[in-house]
Amino acid sequence: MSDARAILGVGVGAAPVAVDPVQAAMKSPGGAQNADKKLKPPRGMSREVFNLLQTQQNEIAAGLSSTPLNDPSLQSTTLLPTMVPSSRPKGGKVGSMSKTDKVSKWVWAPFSSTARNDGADFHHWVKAGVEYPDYPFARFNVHLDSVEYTEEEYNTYLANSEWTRSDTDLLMGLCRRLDLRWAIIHDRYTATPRRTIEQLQHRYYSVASRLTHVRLTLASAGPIDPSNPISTLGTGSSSQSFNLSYEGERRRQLEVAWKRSKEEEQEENDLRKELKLVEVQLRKLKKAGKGEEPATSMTSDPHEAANSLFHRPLPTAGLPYLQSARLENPVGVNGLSKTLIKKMELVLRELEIEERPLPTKTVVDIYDHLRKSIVTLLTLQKIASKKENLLLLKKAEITQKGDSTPFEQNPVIMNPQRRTGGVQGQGMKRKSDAGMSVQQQAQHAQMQQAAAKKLKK
Amino acid sequence: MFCGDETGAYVMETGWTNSRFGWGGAADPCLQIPTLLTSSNTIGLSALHSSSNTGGATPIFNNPNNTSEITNWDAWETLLSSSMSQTVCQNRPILSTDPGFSPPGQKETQTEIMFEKFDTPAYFISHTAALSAFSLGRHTAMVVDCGGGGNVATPVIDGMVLKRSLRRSVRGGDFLDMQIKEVIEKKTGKPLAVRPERQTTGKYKTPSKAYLSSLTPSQKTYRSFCLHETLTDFKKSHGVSLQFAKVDMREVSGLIPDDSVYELPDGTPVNVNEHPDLYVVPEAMFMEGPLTSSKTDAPALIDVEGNDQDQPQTDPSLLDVPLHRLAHEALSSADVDCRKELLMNLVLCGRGSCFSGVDTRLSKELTAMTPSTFRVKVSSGKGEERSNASWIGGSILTSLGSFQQLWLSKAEYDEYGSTLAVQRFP
Repeated sequence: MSDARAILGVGVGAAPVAVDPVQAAMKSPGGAQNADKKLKPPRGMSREVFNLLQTQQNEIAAGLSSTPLNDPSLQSTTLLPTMVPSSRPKGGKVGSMSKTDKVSKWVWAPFSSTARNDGADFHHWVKAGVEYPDYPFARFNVHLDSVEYTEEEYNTYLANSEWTRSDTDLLMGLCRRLDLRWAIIHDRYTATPRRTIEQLQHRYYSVASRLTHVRLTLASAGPIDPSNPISTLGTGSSSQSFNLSYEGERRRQLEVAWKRSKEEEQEENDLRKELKLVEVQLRKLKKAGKGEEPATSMTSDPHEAANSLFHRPLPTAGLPYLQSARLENPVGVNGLSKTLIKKMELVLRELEIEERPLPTKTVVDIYDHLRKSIVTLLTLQKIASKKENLLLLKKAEITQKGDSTPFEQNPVIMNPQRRTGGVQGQGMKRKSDAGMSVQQQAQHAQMQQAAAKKLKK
Repeated sequence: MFCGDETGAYVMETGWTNSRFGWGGAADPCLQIPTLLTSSNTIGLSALHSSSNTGGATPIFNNPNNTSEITNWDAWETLLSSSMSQTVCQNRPILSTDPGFSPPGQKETQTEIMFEKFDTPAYFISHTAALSAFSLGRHTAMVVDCGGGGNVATPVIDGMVLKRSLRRSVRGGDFLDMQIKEVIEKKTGKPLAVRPERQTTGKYKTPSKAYLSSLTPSQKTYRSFCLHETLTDFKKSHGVSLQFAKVDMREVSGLIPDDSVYELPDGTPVNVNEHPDLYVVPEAMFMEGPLTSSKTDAPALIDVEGNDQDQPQTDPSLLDVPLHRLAHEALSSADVDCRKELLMNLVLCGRGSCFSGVDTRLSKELTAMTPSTFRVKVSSGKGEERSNASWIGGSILTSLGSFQQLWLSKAEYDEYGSTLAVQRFP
């Protein structure tokens, strides 16, 4: 855009061009500062283009954009005029010409560029009468600072067992020429021990940082010598070290990901979905009731869980403490689920205990103990029935697969020697200890009789 | 042209089949000729077919294993000087191209000839892949070039070619020509007819076997050039649409339009319906498995994985793999971090890619081969731009203002000599 600006005659050192309606519009008094005044775009130029030109102008004036391309001090060399004519006849669009317009003269002029160091002459077509102190595109010749070392510096600080001097020199030369484009440097590095790209990077950055470190310590150690300032340290000489192992690992992982086939990807996605489902189920189980253990966990004990819920809180000094507070049924995430509480209340009613016992310490202690036992009983019953169901399922699976081993039809409950895991076993024993409701006892007795009959058969 | 500078450089590109010459800054080359010289050392299609061309043709590139190797330097010089005199090029900087797998020393010889014989003020050699990427406005791209001599897949990063990651295959235009020729000759029972421009009246004389075996090498070259013309014409009219998926040969006959009868120069009709193979000739570019055998000169499949670990790399791997696999091999040998950007900018160029459906098919096959985190995007020019992509890129390059500092000038050549000077070229 800046060359358009140059043609239009704005900015420092603009090329003198024939009177141009756009130029006239832009050259209002105090050009760049006219941000507040509403300048109208000339006819034929769109509003958006004109706004862009304005914005750029203002930016440069304010010194906001300071890249080499927008550096005000470099604005003295404008870009070449474009091939597109920019004059405008009366009443027409920008860029069109009428018969009476003056044709601008172009010459085949020689030019030289400061970007070239041989001073060779080239020719190009330019508008007659325009003078350029330097080739406008020379300022694009930007390179990274190079890292250079002397012979002594290399021998003292940079010598390495894996890297010979010539290899290191080759690498430094490539980095300088190619401006640290590592993919290409790796491609062009032709020394015999074939190195990976991270090895090249590691060598370069370690050399650069070591040099910096050494030079700075030397410079700070002695007196400041104005005749020998620290030359530019070169790009890549920051204090952060290059992590070779991490880079190697990262590249290996990316390679693995690249080589993975579509089937493997599909498999991984399916496994992830399954994992999500299982996690959701786990969470549901945990929420469902404190004291009830999920099928996989063997560590928690229903007793302990119940204990923690009905634990007597210690009276704290200064706060009123009422026994009646302990009568509340703990509900919520950490407490019992509503179904469990209802079941507990059912059992309490069966045992013919009054709804609200008198809240003295001993009474409430006993009440707590009772509720604890009920909750434990209910939880264990639930676990037991679940295990039973699981067992039946597995049996069905096995019989489906053709296993002819006959199975006992006894339910798990009645068989404490069965290998179902420590806590379960304990739980079963405790279950038989704990009192069962009358109905449940009758059920189990019936089942036992049925099993006995089958065995006889 | 906001960043442009009209320096009037001369852009020349000599390919395996065709050469293109023209001026930097122009939209297309002003001179497009086959890369052949007539017996009287003139160039051009009309010269080749004219009655004064009795001896046949001289090729410049004659090594099918390395289609960029200039085997006849005198012919190359003559080609250049004739083209420069035809286009009235005097004392201009010259840009020429190189595919990236030319034999070592070739660039030096080219530079020497340029400065000593032609006395150019400046010279530059750029890679065809980089130029094709520039023609589509990209500096980083995976360039897949389907040319006459073969297909080449080259990663280009920041305008520079990764030479070690270059992969090429023999299944180019000439390979497809051979397939078509075999099918037709088997069917008609006689050698494929070519159109000698001289013969306009009288009955077409089928050349006898004795005649064919008695041809001199240059006459053979001329004859194969005429064959190439016939077959290219056939390909343009009937070598048709690649389906998006692998073609089931049983379904092909349903796809061929009823009126697809091609008439050979001697009047023999070739009914594509009877030979579904002809309809899906470009499918050969995408078929798996080694296809070349003793019929062509190219070697059979060479295993790629890890073959350049220990051996010094003198020749990039020459493979006999389908187009998508070629691109995939090239990508797999490039730097891991660049692959995503390369896949997003896949450039398809060359006349062999002008069959309809090549870009869709390539995109589809590559998407199936790469992980789903990578997005594949194939870009290509339209029509003639696709076949001239590298020349157009050269034209763009020479007209850039910031390129003018990169030329190798005569002064620099005199100072450094050709070996060091060639290092200036990317």
